[in-house]
Amino acid sequence: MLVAISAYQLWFFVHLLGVFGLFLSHGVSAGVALKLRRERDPVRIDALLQLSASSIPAFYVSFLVLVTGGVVAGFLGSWWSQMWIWASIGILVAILISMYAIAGPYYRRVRTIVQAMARGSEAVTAEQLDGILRAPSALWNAIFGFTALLVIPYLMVFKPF
Amino acid sequence: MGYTRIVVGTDGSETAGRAVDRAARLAKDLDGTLFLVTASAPIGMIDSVAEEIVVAARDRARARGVEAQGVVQEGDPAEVLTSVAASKDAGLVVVGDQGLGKARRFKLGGVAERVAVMAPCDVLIVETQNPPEAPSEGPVYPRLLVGTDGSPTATAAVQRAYDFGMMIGVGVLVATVTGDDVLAAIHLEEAQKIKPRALGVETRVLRGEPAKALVKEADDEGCGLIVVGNRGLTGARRVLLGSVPSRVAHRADRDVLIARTVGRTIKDLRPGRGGVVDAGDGKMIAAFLEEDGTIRALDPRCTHMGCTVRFNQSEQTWDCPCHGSRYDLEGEVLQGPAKKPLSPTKL
Repeated sequence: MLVAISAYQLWFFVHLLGVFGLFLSHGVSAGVALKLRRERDPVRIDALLQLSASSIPAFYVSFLVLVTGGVVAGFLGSWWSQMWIWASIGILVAILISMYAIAGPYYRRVRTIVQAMARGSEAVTAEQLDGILRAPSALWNAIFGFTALLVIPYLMVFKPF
Repeated sequence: MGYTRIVVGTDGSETAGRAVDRAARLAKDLDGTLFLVTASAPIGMIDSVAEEIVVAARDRARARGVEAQGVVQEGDPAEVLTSVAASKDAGLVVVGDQGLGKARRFKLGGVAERVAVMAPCDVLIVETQNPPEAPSEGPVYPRLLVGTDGSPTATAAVQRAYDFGMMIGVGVLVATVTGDDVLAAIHLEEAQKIKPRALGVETRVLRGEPAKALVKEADDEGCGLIVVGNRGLTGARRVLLGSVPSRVAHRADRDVLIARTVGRTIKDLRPGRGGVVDAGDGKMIAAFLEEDGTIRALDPRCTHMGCTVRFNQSEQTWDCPCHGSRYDLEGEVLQGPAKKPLSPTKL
């Protein structure tokens, strides 16, 4: 039996699909970020980073679906006069900037290092790699990401302001 | 690579004459053929005047022991120089740095800058305002400096500096400008790996703005020539952000060699080396030149997501920078996520 659905419900559904895809795809990167703190084999680290990088295209597609669905649903639901939607967008932009400015360079650096080590480089010691993988910036980035992913659904569901 | 055919542009000015002097010196030292080029039309020059300029430049080269060939061609100077360089199969174009001075540093379109962007080969920009004294005996440059950031194009520039150092018999100083000691060590280790055994190479880690740091180091260490790759000399990035090669050329008070490391063609490859090169008509191929001169040509698009692969000299593989897929010289997959091989392509 077909249920009549409004345009708003349809676009909200698209938005949720994007959210689901984003969690699924970026969950890979988040898992890799946590796993890297314990892994010390350069070849395995490189493989993990490749796995993470391979999920990025799906992340971008999901993000596009999420934003498109969210913006259209925002217009159809007349939400743009409310602060919660702007706060959600603000947090999303902040987390994107954070990922671009901190996480991207960090993981590119790790990748350069482990690839060099895998090729037999003597320029980097195991102790240096250990220090880099224990760097607080990666952990803080993950904490910031997880926190944002909790706050945004809270704002969307409870619409506190 | 070889600088056995050298093209130098002249408009008859004293500063252009210094570029002719430098080109003649290189042609003499490298036993090369020198072509003196003058463009006639855009500055309203009549043919007889252009001919006189070429004759004067030829006399100037002859005084330095080099018999040069003169070329007068109608057109925009930068376009004429690059077209002559292509038609003469030149390995090097030499131009004076007029128009690159501080007062005109933001003026796009100077002949030197345009030649650096358009030339089908390496470009030597000669310092003509306050040139360091070139020794009359011995190598034309006492030492070379080259910068690297570990990228494949920077590594190609390092290779070019090594080749040039070997040609003129001087050592090379390899510098990397970064605040990251670990990456610096990796960059310099990579540069050491490709060093010819007979070449003296020293390394430095520099801090600060790359162009400024490289120019200062060249000054401090008495390097007469700075070698940079041509990455970032074209496209939107150049206009919006500038590029290290461009900034080095603007800042340097000495000669700058802009090695054509991006936009290379098959003739730029050396035996046992590979690279993504222009096969003509803008078609890019992943080409590897065998020792016997045969070329293995592949489609450079990674079969995973379509990124352009890069040649990994130490492993002799084609590597995708996006997701880490790797292929052997035949294009077969060595490592995923790609599942399909690179397609062979016709030259």
